Amino acid sequence: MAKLSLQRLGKRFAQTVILKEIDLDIASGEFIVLVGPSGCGKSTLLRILAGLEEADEGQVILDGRSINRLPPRERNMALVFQDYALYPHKTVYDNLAFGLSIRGTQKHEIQQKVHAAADLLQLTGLLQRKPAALSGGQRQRVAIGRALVREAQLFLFDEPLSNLDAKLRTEMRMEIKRLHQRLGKTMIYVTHDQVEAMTLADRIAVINHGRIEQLGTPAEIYQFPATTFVAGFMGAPPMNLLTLPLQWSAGNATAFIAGQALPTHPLENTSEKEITLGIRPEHLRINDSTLNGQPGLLLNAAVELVEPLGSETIATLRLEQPTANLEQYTVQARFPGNQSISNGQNLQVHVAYANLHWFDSNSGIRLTTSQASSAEQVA
Amino acid sequence: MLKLPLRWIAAAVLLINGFFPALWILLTSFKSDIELAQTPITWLPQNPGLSNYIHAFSDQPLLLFLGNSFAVALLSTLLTLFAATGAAYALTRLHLRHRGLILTLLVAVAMFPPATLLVPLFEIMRGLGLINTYGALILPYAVQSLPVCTLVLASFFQQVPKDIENAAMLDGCTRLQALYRIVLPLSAPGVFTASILAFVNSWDEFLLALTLNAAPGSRTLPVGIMLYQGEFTFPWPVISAALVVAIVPLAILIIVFQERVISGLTTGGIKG
Ligand SMILES: Nc1ncnc2c1ncn2[C@@H]1O[C@H](COP(=O)(O)OP(=O)(O)OP(=O)(O)O)[C@@H](O)[C@H]1O
Ligand SMILES: [Mg+2]
Repeated sequence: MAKLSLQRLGKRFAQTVILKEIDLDIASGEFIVLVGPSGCGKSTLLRILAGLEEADEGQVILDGRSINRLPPRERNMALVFQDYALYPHKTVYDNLAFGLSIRGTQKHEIQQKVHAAADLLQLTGLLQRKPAALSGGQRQRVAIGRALVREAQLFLFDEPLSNLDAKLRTEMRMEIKRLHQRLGKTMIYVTHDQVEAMTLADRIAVINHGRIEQLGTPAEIYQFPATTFVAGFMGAPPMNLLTLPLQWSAGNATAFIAGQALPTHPLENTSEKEITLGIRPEHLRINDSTLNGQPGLLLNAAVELVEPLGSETIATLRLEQPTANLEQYTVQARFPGNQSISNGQNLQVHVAYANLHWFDSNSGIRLTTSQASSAEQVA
Repeated sequence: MLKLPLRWIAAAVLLINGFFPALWILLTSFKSDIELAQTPITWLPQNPGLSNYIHAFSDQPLLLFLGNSFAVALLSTLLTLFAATGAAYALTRLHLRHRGLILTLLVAVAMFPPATLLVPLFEIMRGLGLINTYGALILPYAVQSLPVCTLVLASFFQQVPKDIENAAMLDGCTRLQALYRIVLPLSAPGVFTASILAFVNSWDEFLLALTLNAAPGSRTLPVGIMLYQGEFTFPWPVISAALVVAIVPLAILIIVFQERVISGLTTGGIKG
């Protein structure tokens, strides 16, 4: 059991506000992934949970009890530090064993657990080495192992796979997922890797400037980004965001793109002059049969840059405007890898109206549609 | 190119300045009184023998002095280390206010001329009933070494990344356990350096030893060696032999510890 509830957490360093009004309820056994730009406060949040930093405001409630003043060792949490923080004077074996022996575990049990963890993390041959004699990726795995050997009730990971090569990263990601399924422990995981976030999370919290910008399942975050920030943060390449001019007549707004009028989402504020349109790169299609008869937008574009990735091709397109004095838009599109595309080529791309995302240009907040409203928690 | 010879000259000066007196004492300890009085002076002993050493041990209880010095130096060093560890930890890890002021005061205390403390110390030790016991020296020696040992340890503690200690506390250590099981071992070179400083400080000290602890049974080497001179005689070769006996254990100690003062103990723990 480890049900965690963060209530209006706030943290400042000197005068700088690092975390602001963080509210987050985490169910026992849930896998929460924290994502956000560098410096947004992810590590600070984990350190507050682990008891290494004190929150200036708010409460951390664990299983109904405030743990704000509980020292780290009594929280029974394990943290994989972003900078590893291994014990340099101890061998890998002793690094893994230290937490167990300090808590009075039997020697044969320690041995068994350390070897099991070493096996899982492919460290068996390195157990007698000191950290200085390990590569960055090996050190990182020792750091993971040190957290995993202990039967903590809550696991905190701070970018645990950042220093591994692509193959090992995939393997370790799967191991962590398996481990979570097997142990059923609550896990909070910080990452910059979108694939990790999407594949591991029960829910993702997108943090920006010390606030939770959106909290939701990976699908909700991807399909219904609550703000332009989330839309631009998740997805590679990110969602195309275009600022379009609005024209008002009789209280109805119409946006214009490439000379075409576009029905927009109903707007409350009738003084808006602009609106932001979001289109995922994969929703731009060359072959209009993929629209399947859905109503959609048809755009003429010139190919500016082609990046073939094998299974798919990322193309940068410049949209054709009817007159030269209008704003120029470039978008990124993701086409199937077998589609032949070359620089300078002129294309027609389609996008279904159903796949258009609308945002308020000033606040960046999504203009809510009923189907998405449950997914959103706008900060 | 010009720098190189200059550097060598400087090194030579330091070496001669440091080694020559020690070498001279060593050579003298193998000479006779008569040879010593000869002019021109001889550099190497003409009939080297151990007779001065035999005299050094038989004329005075040199072994007893050695034992006393060792006990006093060891105990005061341990006491200093214990106190300095706590002080250094508090100065580096707890968010103390007036940290700078405390450090300055610490240095200021170390600057006090010992002679000014002689009378008050004597009164205190008499009050405590410690005159002519080890205790009369152990306490003041420990206090004397405390500032510099604290500064040395503090500078080493500062090098231990905070997250390593945090990791230990998450692993289940109390603050004190993290200090003794993680921070201190990682500061081993600092601990050795501080130990040597404190030990040498006690080993060499004469003024307090003479004033507070001159009883035949508990007197330390510096006081003991003074006793070799008679009212009208000054047996240089025997005194030299006793001095060599006093220096050698210290030299061995320093060499042994020096081996362990390796740097880079904290590398590998933290990324980058
Ligand atoms: N001890 C500290 N004193 C002052 N400022 C700090 C301290 N620790 C962190 N900060 C600041 O707090 C902010 C958040 O830091 P934090 O390490 O939580 O970021 P992060 O989201 O983990 O970033 P990254 O993805 O780069 O690891 C940063 O702007 C950082 O400079
Ligand atoms: Mg971080």
